[in-house]
Amino acid sequence: MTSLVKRGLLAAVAGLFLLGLIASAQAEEAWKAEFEQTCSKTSQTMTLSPDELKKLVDKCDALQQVIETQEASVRKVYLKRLQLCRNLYSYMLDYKKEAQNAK
Amino acid sequence: MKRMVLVCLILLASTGLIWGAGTKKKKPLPQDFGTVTISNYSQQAGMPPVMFDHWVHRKNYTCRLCHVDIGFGMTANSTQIRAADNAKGYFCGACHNGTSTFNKVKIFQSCATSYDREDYKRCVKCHALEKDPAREEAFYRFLEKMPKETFGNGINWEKAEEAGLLKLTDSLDGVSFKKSSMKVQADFALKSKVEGMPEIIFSHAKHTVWNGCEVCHPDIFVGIKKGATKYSMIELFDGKYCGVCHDKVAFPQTNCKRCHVKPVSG
Repeated sequence: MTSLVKRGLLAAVAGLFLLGLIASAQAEEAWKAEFEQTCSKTSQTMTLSPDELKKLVDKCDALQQVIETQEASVRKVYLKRLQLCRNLYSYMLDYKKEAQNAK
Repeated sequence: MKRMVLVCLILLASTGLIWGAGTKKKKPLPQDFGTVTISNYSQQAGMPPVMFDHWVHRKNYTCRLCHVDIGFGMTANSTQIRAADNAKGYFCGACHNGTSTFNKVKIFQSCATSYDREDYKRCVKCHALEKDPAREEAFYRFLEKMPKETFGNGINWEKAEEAGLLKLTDSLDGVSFKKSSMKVQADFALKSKVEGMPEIIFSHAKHTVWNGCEVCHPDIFVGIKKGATKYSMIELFDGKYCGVCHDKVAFPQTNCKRCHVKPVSG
């Protein structure tokens, strides 16, 4: 009987561990997909509206918080990449606002 | 007379001081132009610094791929690369992982947590103590096939790309995103401050082939109003603006006619 309980407990722990692993992998996939979706528009910045650019900058800021919780190597690479794309969107946003004001 | 002697003495002393301070930079050899020494953690690990040859990489890849998608900084030692980063497939390890290939040739693996005598031969491919004659020979073999240029490493990279002699890779599986094609901005002229000096024609097209947008904007060129930033050659030679790349990896700024191309009107 005790061995059956032990086995059951072991199976439950293993199951929980597996679920944890799957959840963590899914969470990683989720932020990476969000990152790709957000930063893949850098070649179209000239054609984006100020509203679209503002939304992208906000998305970058939200992503930054998630990336800051990742392990050291991931953090180093992705924060740099995020900074490059966020800065470009912000730069274009300023440029477009300036152009609108000049009209 | 006394005043003359004094002036001569001051001139002589200042010449000596300037010479002593070594203000004149030694011009690098063609094969060494663009070589960057990376030494963040190598010596702590008992390794010589990394001698990174830009020419080896830029003949196959765009600047954008490494400096945007892979995340390398634009100045030596700013990236703070660790062997552990490479081993996880980041930075050098994005390609140098022992499984990736280029032109069906396996790219050697970078870094290891422990190494034996045999592995060490691989380590010193990058952590080079002294000049490798084979590397130099490879450079001259490559140079032979390329359009020539007087300055830098003697290669006109722009012409080489335009002529299709270089097939630049701009994306890496598992690292780069799928992007839509870019609407390239038109060329524009920048007036020179010196009378009689031809105007600069800045070509976005020539730069975006290698760099995309985010290598330059806004980290290097921050101004949003055309004509608002006044560039001076002193700042450029000091490594700002164009000087971030030109003089270091791209052709040197002493090659005036490469940028000042528009004849003065009138």
